[in-house]
Formats: sequence, structure tokens, C-alpha cells
Amino acid sequence: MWRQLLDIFSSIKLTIVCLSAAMMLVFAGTLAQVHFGTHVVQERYFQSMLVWWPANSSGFRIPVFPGGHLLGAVLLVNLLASHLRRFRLNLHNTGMHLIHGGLILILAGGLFTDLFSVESQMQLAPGETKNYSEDSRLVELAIVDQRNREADRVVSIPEARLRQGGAVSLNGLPFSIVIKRYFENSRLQAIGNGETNAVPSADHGLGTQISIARIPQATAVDGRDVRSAIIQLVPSEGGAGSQGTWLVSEGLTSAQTFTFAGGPWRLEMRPVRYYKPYGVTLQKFTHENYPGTDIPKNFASQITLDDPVHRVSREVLIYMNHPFRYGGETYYQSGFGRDDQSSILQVVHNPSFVAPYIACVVISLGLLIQFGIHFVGFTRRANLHRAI
Amino acid sequence: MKLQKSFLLVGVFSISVLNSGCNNKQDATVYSVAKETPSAQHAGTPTAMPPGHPTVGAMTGEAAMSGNPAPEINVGTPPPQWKMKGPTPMRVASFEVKGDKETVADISLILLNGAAGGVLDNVNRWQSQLGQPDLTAENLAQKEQHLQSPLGELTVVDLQGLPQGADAATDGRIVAAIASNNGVTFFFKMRGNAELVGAQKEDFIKWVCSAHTGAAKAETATQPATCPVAPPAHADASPTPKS
Repeated sequence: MWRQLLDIFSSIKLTIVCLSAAMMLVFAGTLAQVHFGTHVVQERYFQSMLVWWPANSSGFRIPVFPGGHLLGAVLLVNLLASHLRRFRLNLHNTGMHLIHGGLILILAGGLFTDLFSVESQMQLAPGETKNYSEDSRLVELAIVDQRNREADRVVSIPEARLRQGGAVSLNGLPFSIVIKRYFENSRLQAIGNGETNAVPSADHGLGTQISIARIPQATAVDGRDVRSAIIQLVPSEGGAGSQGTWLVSEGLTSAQTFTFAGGPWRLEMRPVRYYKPYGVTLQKFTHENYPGTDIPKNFASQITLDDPVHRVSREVLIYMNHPFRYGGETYYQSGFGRDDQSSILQVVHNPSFVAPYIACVVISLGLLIQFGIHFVGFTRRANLHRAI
Repeated sequence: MKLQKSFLLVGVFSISVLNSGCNNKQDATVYSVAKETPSAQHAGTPTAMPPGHPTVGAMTGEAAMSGNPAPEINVGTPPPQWKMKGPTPMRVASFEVKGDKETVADISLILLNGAAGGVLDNVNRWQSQLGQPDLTAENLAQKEQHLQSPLGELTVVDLQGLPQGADAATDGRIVAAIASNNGVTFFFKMRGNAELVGAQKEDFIKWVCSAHTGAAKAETATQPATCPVAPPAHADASPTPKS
């Protein structure tokens, strides 16, 4: 049984099939970007185990092709199995072991990066402090219980759950959230006075004054979807006073509030937040252009980091190609707000960021040893020929 | 045969990974954060990870502060004859102006994130409010004016028409301006009696040009508004060249 498995996974045919499938996947993914946009294709084709059809449906779907993660994983197993099978553990094969080890590290590192890295952004105005970064590619429905004077309790419902629909009930939440409709992209329009033919999107909150229409997802590189949902707040058993239906949308510029169970609550569709155990304050943002041009020369953010847990308080300068690493996260100077005064920092949490560096060193070492062994053997043979 | 087996194994492997690894992204999470206050963003308070928050790296913690700075909008200076109306959830600013013979016009500023349907869709919605047919992009290009304001480029339209059964004292013309700033679309709109709206158009444009965001405030404090005064109120005024 194990032998059969090893035969299959160490097969060169499997390597060829996987590499061919990877080429086809890249080709199909490139074409699909026309319809779905870069981010969606990256998620559905390359950062997935399987490519599903139909792509947009939330109902019955069938897998039609292996996704990037599956191909990468199979190639990794294939490389490992074929190496185990073909190379004995001896000094003569040290170079080959190291080269394959490096390749395995690159593949595994890539897979780990895709699975576990988190990229987000932190936009700061001068003097502003934040303890969270946001990923505007993903949204969350935040239902904030503001009844406590000390702290707010946040129920965060991710986009994937919103897409599923149905009811969300959580312990301690005095109502269920029923997701009635979810819009991957939507057009919101304010209903004007006397506009009788417009249908309000909800019967409570801002939705009473806004109509909503489903529109195709943005596929342009600079296009942006306005994700929205119609939700209903249904009191838990024994509770009274329905809160009706509400429109929650990225298109709304402010959160909505309502009163329930003796206190205020807030509803908001917002970019997903990643909280940090420390605060980052922007002291100064500098944006320099080359004289007489609009070509950027340098962006720099002078920040203060305050970490009460580790008793760290320090000033840091982040600028182009000089990121700042702290707490397992890397802060890059990414850009600036359109007002040219606020700074945008890219926050990357990648537990396997050292893998490619280590892999490169290991492969280089392996190549040196492998070629060295061949070179020494070659020179010995040449000397032998000369001696004869 | 071997190849078939390999595909079978790959299938089993993928389904098991899918079942085991991909569900956690769909769960709702609950965590606590310190009260959000507008001043929190400048407090410089050190913070900690909220309890229950999904782990980022190896970080954990307890109470947390969270700042949620809404864009600082200054709705500008309305002319004295405009009477401020009570706020509504949708309207950032709301006014009413009265003219002779009980004529009325309603003025509002609404903000939406994103393109909010774009200029053409919104103009056609206003056209339908006035009982008028939709405009094509070419028609709109003939009708719209472009002005520079502290909020960025403004698209100004002047639409006329009286919908069936409407009262000419309170309806018949819409002058509106759309601006996009930092991902937020600003809809300035004045709707009411055609003559009154025409008479108020210049003041409306001045008001629109006086609105700015907090970030733009510093610039406008030292520079005069670049918004030119609109041409004489006339629904069919020739378009101002794009500046």
C-alpha cells in the first residue's frame, strides 16, 4: 500500500500533469480577470484548493479544476516523495539534498504565506493613533453593543458568512441577525422628496431613504465594489420589539444606531479590522517630489509606537524600502491619502517571510556543493589522464 | 491506471483539506473594545488586543481602545436667506428657502461612499423626478459644468421639468453638484420652484464651493476658494469649459 502510494506521488507523470495544470490555471486565471477582477481571481483560482463552477453561485457548484493551493501541495508532496525514492542519504548526494530541500522550502513557504499571511492597511492622519489596521478588500458587519460604559462589545460577521445568508445567533446577543439579502456590489441612491416610484431598501434606519440595486462586480484594477446587505434584527425568545430590516452598506458614510434591551447599539458595514496590542501614532508625514516634477522622491512617516504590555515606547521613521518590524508584523510605507497629509502604511503579518531567504541560501549552498563535487571529480580524472 | 489513482488520491486529499481548513473564515466573532470617541484618535492611548479578537500572530491582550475617525466634513457657509431644517439620518445638511408667492426650494447635502451610481445614473434619477426622459452620456456632456472646489472637481447640472400633478410652487427645477473626495461622493442638491431655484443658483454654487473636508481646511484657510461664481442662472446655459 505504502509502496503504491510512493509510486504514485513520486511519479514524474504527476509532476508533468501538475506543471501542465498550473500553466492552464495561470492562463485561465488571466482570462478570468477580465470578468472577475484581479482580487477575486487570485482568491478563486490561485488561493483555493479547487476552482468551482459556476463561480458566482452560492448554491450547487461543482469543482472543475484544481486550484493553486492544491497544485502547489501536490507538487510539494511529489518533490518530497521522488527525492526520498531516488536519492540515498549519503555525503555524495549532499548537494542534491540541499537543492531539493531549498525547493521544498520555497514551495512550502509560498503555501504558508498564502494560507497564513494577513495584509492590511493603516491610514493615519497627523496626530492620530490607531490600534488596528483594516483590509478594505474584505468587509465585516459590525454590530456594536454600546450599553456598557467602559467598553463596547463588537459582534463581527465576516463577508463569507453574510454571503451565506440565514440567521446568526450568538450567546449573549439579545437578538438574531437574519441576513435577508447580500449584494456583492450595489448602487445606492438617495430617495428624493416626492419620488414615489423608488423602493426603500429597508424599513428602519437609513435604508428607509435609500433604494438599492444589484450591479455587476467591478473588474477594473481601480474599480471598487460597494458591498451591502439587508438584515433583519429579530429579538431572541422572550424578547420584545422587533428592530425591523436595516440596510448596511459600505456605501453609507456613517454608522447607524438603534436602541434595544435598554441601551444604544451601532450597525456598520466596514473593512475588516485587525486589532493590535499596541498603538501607533503618526507624528509627521513627509511627501517629497523631485524638484519641478510630480514624481515622488520619498514618502516618510515619523511614528510613535506605544506597547504597554511590553513597556515599549519608541519613535520610528518608516520610509520607502525601509520598513519597520514589530510584534511579528512589518509596516511598509505604502502611500498617502488623497489629501496628501495622511499616511498609508501597509501592515503585513507573514509568519513564513524568512522562508525564501533561507531557501535561497540552502539552494546556493547545495549548488556549490554539487558542482564542487563534480568539479573535484573532473579535475581528478583530468589529472589521472595527464599522468597516464 | 496509476494516473487515475493519483487523481483519486488528490481528490480525497483536497476535499479533506477543504472540510478541515476553510470554515473558520465564516464564523462570527465577538470581542470588546474601549469606547470609540472622536477624540480617541488623538489621545495617543496605548492599547491592547481585545479579548476574543482573532489572533494576529502571537499577540493577545485585554481591553482596547479603538478610534473610528469619520471624515471631518465642514458643510460650508449657507447664505442667510436659507433656513436650516432639522437633521435627518441621510442629510448632512438640509435647508429650505422661500420666495415670492409661497414658492419653496429644498436644499440638501448627502454623502455616500464610493461612486454611488455615478453622475449619469444620478442625473437621470433627477430627470425622472422632474418627469423628464433619461439623458445619454452625450446629452449630459452638453449640460454639465465642471468647477474646481476644495472637495475636488464638481460636476454641476441644471435640470428643468414639472412632473405630472406636481405643484409649480415647490417643484420644477433641480440644480445639483456632485463631487468625489477621498472615496466619498458628495451630492449637493437644490430642488423647488423653477424661478426660485434659478434665483438661488449663484448662492447655491457659492455654498457648494465653501464646503470642504477637515483635511482640505488647512489649504483653503490660506487660499481663496477656486470655485468661480456660476454663470447667470439659466437652465440652458452653455457649459463652462472643463478647468
